Amino acid sequence: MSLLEVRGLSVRFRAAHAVRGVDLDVGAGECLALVGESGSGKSVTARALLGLLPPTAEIAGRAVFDGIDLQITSGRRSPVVGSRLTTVFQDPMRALNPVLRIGDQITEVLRLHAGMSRAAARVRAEELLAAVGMADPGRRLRAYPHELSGGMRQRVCIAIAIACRPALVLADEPTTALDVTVQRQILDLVDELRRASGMAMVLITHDLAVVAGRADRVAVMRAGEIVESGPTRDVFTAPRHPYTAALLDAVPRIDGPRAAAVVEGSAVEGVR
Amino acid sequence: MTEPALRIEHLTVRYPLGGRRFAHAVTDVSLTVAPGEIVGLVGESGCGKSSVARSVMALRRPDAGRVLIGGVDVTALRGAALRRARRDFQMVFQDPRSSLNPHRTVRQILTEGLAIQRVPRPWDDQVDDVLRAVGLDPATYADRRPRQLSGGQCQRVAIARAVLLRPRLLVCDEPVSALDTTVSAQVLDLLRDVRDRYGVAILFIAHDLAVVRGLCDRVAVMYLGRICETGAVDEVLARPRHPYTRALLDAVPRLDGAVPAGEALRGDPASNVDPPSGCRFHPRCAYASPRCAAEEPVLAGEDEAVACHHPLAPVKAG
Repeated sequence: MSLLEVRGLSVRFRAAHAVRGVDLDVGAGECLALVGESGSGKSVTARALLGLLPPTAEIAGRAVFDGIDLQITSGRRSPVVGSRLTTVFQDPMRALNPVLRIGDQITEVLRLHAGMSRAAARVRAEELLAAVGMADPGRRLRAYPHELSGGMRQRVCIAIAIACRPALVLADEPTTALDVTVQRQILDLVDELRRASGMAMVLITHDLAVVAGRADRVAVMRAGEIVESGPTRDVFTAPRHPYTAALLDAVPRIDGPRAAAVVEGSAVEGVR
Repeated sequence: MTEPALRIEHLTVRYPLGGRRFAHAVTDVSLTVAPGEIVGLVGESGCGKSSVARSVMALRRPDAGRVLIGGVDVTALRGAALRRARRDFQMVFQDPRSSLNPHRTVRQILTEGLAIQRVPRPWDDQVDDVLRAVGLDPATYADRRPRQLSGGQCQRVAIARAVLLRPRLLVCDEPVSALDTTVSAQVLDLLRDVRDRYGVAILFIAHDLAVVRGLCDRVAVMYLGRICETGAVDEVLARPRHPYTRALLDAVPRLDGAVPAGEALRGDPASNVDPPSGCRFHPRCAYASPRCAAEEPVLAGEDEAVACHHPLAPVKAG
């Protein structure tokens, strides 16, 4: 049985039909990449599962996580969100509270979801910072987000996401705001954490090169629908949908042909 | 020899932090861009590449060194003379939406530069031509405002605004990092097209070597305020000699999923307030020797050069 099973997910914002009948399955410990352009509905899909969409969104469909119905149409956030099912956002500066020390932001999660005492949460927070590769974690707990580099901020966000040993992390463009060198560090870190803990992951990105060699399966979204899905290697070497092939051709290459191919038009316009 | 579109000579930029402390953003950087050439300036956040751009655009006076655009030292210009000279060098910013005035229509945005430069009217034909050149139909888009455009279309407008005055030099500071790969490919294609059509030189600032590889003729790699390697794109990216260039290359994710041989670059760059002694890269470098901590390597030459005591491949004999 899948860890996460999504059936017939649809999301509408007034006239815009952002997600149209999406089915997804994520097995325990599996890494699924959800790829597509801006406006393809990949972030809206994740937000619907997490209960983070505004009340104006009309949601239909069903999502079962670890045997629990997430009740995504209820407008309420499931209690597993934040502990067993967590997320990492694109922009770590906006994901963190700028006026709270990062130690307080990590211990908040532990106290709220794991019911830890202040002292125990502090010890665990320090362990978490060490686990995400922060040097001198004891001192870093007292830092504010603005005192950290972008890469370190994203490490803090990852520490918060894994604080309660989640079964699944939804990472929405976790490295898009970062430099390539830091991107590689963060992707390597996530791989390492996944291997160590066996957690599953949905990695949302527009950059196919990011998921190559890291995701087990890929689902390609366009205009609110999944147009192709399958094992990463198969989809990359023999894409069946012309849109997947076009996306692959648009990736700037460090090997192979120099100039990337141009995809005419955009997914966003397809929706309108 | 023809005058280069841009010649940066021994540029140094430092920001005062109070007391006697300074952030040494750019230290002794020299670089030339020939007419119609596209040169990539790459490095991580905080390496000083945007400070170079700001000095080239005469937005900040350098602490030392000169910037010559078409042979004119723009760092010596003031007031009206500087404003007239600005015609020759235009900029495209990273975030296409925030670099366009949200209250104005595309036509108003484009004509503002013409008004400032006192270009005689009528302007409509010029505006329509440049919009067509960047792939936007004037009848559809000229009267729209930025919020009615996609990110890629906004960047097209920003490029149209930059080339409308027929500058010698376009400075593009991470123009595609905020865009999707598909839209990014379109914008890069447009920049090549604009170079071919107008013969404009481009200083292209980026952190992604894969993007630089597809667009640029030459590349200069910056680390902590200094250029550590420069040369033809094909040469530098195929046979990097500086360990930092190698590390940057290894960081680029590959479509075949192959994991690069090298270790991921550890940690963040050192602080530019108190840069490391000797070679600024030595604390993160796998090949560092005692000499690297003691002696700063010199970037010999401007066309093909590496500033490293232990370059990865033998330096070609001159």
